[in-house]
Order: sequence, then structure tokens, then C-alpha cells
Amino acid sequence: MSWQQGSGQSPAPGWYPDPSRRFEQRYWDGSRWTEHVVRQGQRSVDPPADQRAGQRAGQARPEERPAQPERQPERQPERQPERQPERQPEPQRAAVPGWGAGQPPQGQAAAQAPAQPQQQQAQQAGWPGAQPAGVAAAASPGGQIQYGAYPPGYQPARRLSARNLVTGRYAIPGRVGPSVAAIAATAERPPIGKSLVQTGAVFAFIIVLALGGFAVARITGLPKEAPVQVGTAVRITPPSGWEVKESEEGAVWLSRGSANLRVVTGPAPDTSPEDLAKVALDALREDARGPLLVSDPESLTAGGGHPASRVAYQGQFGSEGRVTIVQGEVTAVVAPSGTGVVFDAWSLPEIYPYEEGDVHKMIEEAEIR
Amino acid sequence: MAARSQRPGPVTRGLRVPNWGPKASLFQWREPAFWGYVVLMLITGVIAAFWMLSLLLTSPGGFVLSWVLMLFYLLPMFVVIYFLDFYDREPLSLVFAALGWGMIAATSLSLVGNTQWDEVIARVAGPDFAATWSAALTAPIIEESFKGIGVVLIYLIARREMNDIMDGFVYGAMVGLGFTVVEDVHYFIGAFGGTIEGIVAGFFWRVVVSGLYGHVIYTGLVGMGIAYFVTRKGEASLGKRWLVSAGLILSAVFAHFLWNSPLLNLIPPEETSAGLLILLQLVTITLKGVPFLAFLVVMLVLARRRERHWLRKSIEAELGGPGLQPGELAILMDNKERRRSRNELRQRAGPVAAGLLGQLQKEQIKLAMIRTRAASQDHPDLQRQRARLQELRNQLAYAMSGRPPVGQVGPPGPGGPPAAYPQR
Repeated sequence: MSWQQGSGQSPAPGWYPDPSRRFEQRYWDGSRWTEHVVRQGQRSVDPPADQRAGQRAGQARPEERPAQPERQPERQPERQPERQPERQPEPQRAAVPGWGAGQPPQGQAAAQAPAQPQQQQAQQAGWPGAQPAGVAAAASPGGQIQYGAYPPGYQPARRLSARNLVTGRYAIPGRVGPSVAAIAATAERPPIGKSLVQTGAVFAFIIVLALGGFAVARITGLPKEAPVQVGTAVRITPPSGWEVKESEEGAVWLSRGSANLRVVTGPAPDTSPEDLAKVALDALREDARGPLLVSDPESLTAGGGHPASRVAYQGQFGSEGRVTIVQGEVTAVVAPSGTGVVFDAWSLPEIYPYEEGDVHKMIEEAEIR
Repeated sequence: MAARSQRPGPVTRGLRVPNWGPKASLFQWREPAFWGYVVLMLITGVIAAFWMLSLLLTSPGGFVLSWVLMLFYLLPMFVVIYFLDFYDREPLSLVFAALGWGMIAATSLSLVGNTQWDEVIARVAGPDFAATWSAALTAPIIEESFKGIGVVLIYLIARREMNDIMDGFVYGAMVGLGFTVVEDVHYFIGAFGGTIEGIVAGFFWRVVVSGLYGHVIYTGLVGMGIAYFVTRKGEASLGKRWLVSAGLILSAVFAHFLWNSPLLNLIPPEETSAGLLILLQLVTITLKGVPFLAFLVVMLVLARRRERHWLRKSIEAELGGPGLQPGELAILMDNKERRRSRNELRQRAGPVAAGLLGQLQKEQIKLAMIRTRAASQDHPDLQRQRARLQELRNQLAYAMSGRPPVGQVGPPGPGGPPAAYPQR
């Protein structure tokens, strides 16, 4: 049955999407909605809303209301033939209901397009000039939508909403089908090769920006600064960018802006590197504002093959109102001569992982006597 | 196209999906940019998780308090930005994607990038220079780039949702909003100590005093620049597109640079009274932030005026057709009237009809936008959009009439009609 054949007569009996949206389908007997409904393939009985309302309030159903004869003449379809879908299948120009000014423009739509019997029904329902049309747009895999027809195996999604009604999201039971939006996006997508190149360019840009600095920093870090003497027992060679910020007897503070390394030397006979690290951490705890998180000690070998112990820490330091969270490492070394050396390196937590390479290298290459 | 639409079936009123019809969502499974977005979010999500974990371990109470406070900034700003696009609001999935990019990917990538390039500056110019200028030299370029990439990815995922520079602003500002929320949580714990007093002070300075001047402005401008370039094809010359886009993006970079740099800092290095310190800090922030906020407001006003002018001029020509009926134009041009008309219809015909009316109004605006680019009155895109509007009007009528469409057979029923209703 074509759309045109249906013009001027009542909709064919059959199962249609339930206008109340409470069930998947409701049976239309050719003149009115019946109480027969279907949900998940199961039939049941549910009085239509208008019948329920009528039963409650004793009101007549909408289709039993008298027609409005004064509107019908102006809706006679003089131009009906040119509005038939078969002559203009895409787009179909049917009657145009308006929504302006808070209420429908009475009669204006009819002047634009012919009326049909079902329009009169719609008019009785409160919407002049309206031609009931497809109940929904069902998305087909080919990127087209067919109004009023469902692709094989598809049923209306259980949760119908205004958006679903429009976008035609239909579901094979248990699985939501493709939405028109997704299909539309696919339809306008540029060639896959172009999309891949564009996305690849974005990735390349990210890699250059995020990791390019690492490569450049390695290159610019190759030349080394002049060796720095700490007391009489330690001599370290900082990478490029590290400068002496403070220096005193037996101690040096190296900095490169965002990272710091303080090297302190002193006599530590009969002391293990682990004990020396604990002493250094105790001093840090006194300075810290709040608890100091510390890791388990790690044994390693420092410059000159001396045994060393390393502990990572994190805490808050600074004066009132200017407290900063700091991450760092204490590395303690005890030379056979009894000289103890403490390397305390620190930075902001998010920065330290990128600084520790320089710090470890300085400690490994330090000359400790 | 017409032939393809004539599919066999009980009703063959097939209609090719209009490009500007339904909203595109984030989930474009066949789009490489979508998977690029997913991969980048997963990778950077690991970095962000460790980062947040370190902040949580440092100050658990401060971490929770920081997020709670930032919600008071995030939610209203989100609403304001989202509704700034008066005529064509963006799909929420894409808006949240932009916000997520700012919160996770842009922050994590910036963390890595800033640190590396800070190191380069320290090596090249020395630690003292780096301590003073690194934030001003690296962050504006690195962070605006990584945030801007989020807008580019959104565009590549759903090109048709980027219609004008206002759309670019919305996506950019959402990226900036996500970025600033995570960055502020980091600062509250890292720089303001993570104590209650420190976090409240941080909230005052970074949100109450500076909340309007930061990343939302910068990335909003970057988004406008990107949107200008991709939406003005055929309308402006390539040179002009490059020039305007670069101007907008560089203005964002410069605003960020000025904010991070010691320039215009009025706070003296010597000891100063607390009252004077606060006053000078407020003046400094205002000097650095207000000009760019004003610039952004002017750009937004111009963009909205342009959209409004578009809308009226283009949609007027559709009067009498399915695109526009008498009496609708005045409502379409006024957001309050649009909302009032939907509420009125909701009361009269229910929520489905009101929802359809909302769709209809959106599609009318789409029609206006298409008209600004269509070469002729019967351009296929215009025809498709008119057809879509016609269908919406038909569906609206159906939603109100409560009758099935004449001549259309419903889907296969459950084994025939009920016993009481034999098939005629």
C-alpha cells in the first residue's frame, strides 16, 4: 500500500507504535486505537489513554468530538496534486503546521498546502493544517532513513523519547541499532586516508611537543660545567645548566632553577650509609611542615665505587603562607676515609622525575675521597 | 540520490540523512580521530591518575576539599559557557569530551612538555633566568598547543558541529575549564600547602579573583581561531583565514605569557604590609586579565551579532515554507520566547510534542545556517533540510493527533491482529 493510496481513507488496521509510549505497539482497528498492546513480544490489554480518561471523566474520545466544519472549506486541496509525494518524493512537501506565537496559526498552513481527511483529524486534536506522517525515522544500514518502515529485525527502542522519535534510534532486541546521527556523520566523513593523515599529524605534533624538549635538553646538556669542589673530599662535575647557588665550608648548593642539589660533607667514622641517611632525614623532618613521606632505603654504588644508601621523600616545606610540596632524594655515602657525604636533591613533585637523571649522574660520577 | 531513496517497502518515502540534521555525538566509531582521542585519553589518564594519587597521599583532606571547592567553580562556568552558544548548542557528548580533554590529556601532556622545555631553557639561559621566565616562555606555547589539540580533535571527530567561531569558543573554553580545575587542585596542594587555610587562600586568589582571566579565556580564543580557519572556507581567502586564526591564537598565547611573566608585577620584592600586598596583587591581576577578558567579550558579542544577523536574514526567505511559518520568526529570535513556546506546547500536548518542537526550532536554525552557504535556493542541502523540517512538522502533528499515518503499515505485529479485530 502506497502512501498515496492511503490518502483520503482511514489508516489501515494494524500494529503501530503505541502513541502513549508506554508499550511498544498498540493495535489500530481502522478507526480507533484498541486496548490491545504488545511489549517485548507479549500481548496484553491496556485501555487507550483517551478511553481511560473517558471512563474516568465521562468525556468523549477525541474522534467522537464534532468536526469543525468552518475550517474544512479552506483546507480543500486545490493544489493537492502537486503536493503528492509520488511527484515530489524527496523532499516531500506536505502541509506545514506552524508553532508560532504560542498557538498554531489557524488557517495559514492550509493556505500553504492542501488538507486531507487525516489533517482534519489532526485539526480536531488541536493542530490545524497538520498531516500525520511517518511515526519515526528508522535508520537503515545504507545511511538512509525510511519513514514509517522498520528495517528487518528492528523494533522501536524501548525507551522512546522525542529525540529517539526524531533520530530514529531503533533496536534489534537486546542491541541498540545505529542512530541516524552516526550514519549522518559517516556519510559526510572525508576519505579515510585523509582522516588518517590528519589524525597522524595531530599525534606527530603531540610527540614533538611533549618529547622534543627531552631530546633538545639532552643535546644542550652535553657540554659540562666546570668541576665543583665540595670541602676537601668531594668533587662533582655538573651538567650544563647547573650552577652554584650557595657555597660554604664543606657544603655546596647547586641549582638549575627548577631543581636543586645540596651536597654536604663531614666526618662520619664508623657510620653506615643507612645511618647517615637517617640522620639527614631527621634534619629534613624538623624543617618539614607536616609529615614527611619516605621510601624504603635503596643500596647503590656512588662515585669511586663507594657504598651508598638512597631514600626518596615527599613533604611540604617553606615558611607560613608560602608552603610548597617537594619531592626529593637523600643519597648518603661514606668513604673508607671516614668522610660522609649527603646529597639532597629536590624539586616540585611533577618535575623531579625529569631531574633525577642529572642528579644520579652527578652522584655516580662524583670523585669522593 | 532520489533513486536510492526509492527503496521497496510499504512506504517508500526514503530520505537521505541531511548533514545538518541530527546532532553528531562523540562516538564516531569509524573516525580515526575518535580512536586517537580515546588512545590519548587512556595514556594520559594513567599519568593523571598517578599525579592525582600523589596529591591525595600528600594531603587526603586537602585533596577532597580542593575538588569540592572547584566544583563550585566548574558547574556554574560549565553552564554559562554551554548556554553562551545561543542558537546552536553543542552536543553534550562532545562538550564533555572537550572538558575531559582539558582535565586529563591537556594537563598531563603539559606536565611532560613543560618540564622538558623548562630544562632546555635552564640549560640554555641558566637556572636564575629559568626560575623567573620558564613559566612565561614554555607554558603559553606548550599548554595552549595541547589544549588547542583538543579542539582540533573535536573538529576532526564531528566536523559538522563546528559551524562558526562561537562553536570553537565553546569547545575551547570547555577544554580550558577542565584544565584550570585540575591545575588549581594541583596548586592548592602543591603551592598553597594542602591545609584548609592554604586551600581557601588558593581558592580566593586563583578562582574568586582570577577565575575569569585564565585558561577559559586563553583556550576560548584558541578555539575561536581554529573554528575561524575551518569554518570560513570559501568565505574568506586563505591568507585572511591564516591571519585571523593566527591573531586569535597568538593573542591567547600572549595573554598567557603576560599572566605568567614578571611583567606588570606591582608587588615589591621588599617586605610590605599585608593590606598593601593584597591590594597590589589585585591590581596586578586586573591589569593582566581584564584587557583580554574585554577582548574576548567583544569577540563573543561580534560572533553572536553575526549569528543573529545570519539567522534573521537567511530564515526570512523561508517564510511560508516548511522552514518558517508566520509568527515563528519573532519566537525563533528570542531564547525566552522559544522556551515559552515549548512550555506552552508541553502543557497542551505533552513532553514528546514539546521535545519535537525543540528539535524543530534547532533544525530551523540549521536551515538558516545552511542558507548562508548554499549557492542557490534549490541547493540539495537546502532541500534536504526543508524536507527534514517538513518531517518534523509531520511528526509533531502526529504526536498531537494520536493517529497512525494513513496508508502506512506498522511493523510486523505479534502474529496478526487480535482475535476481536480480524484483518480487513
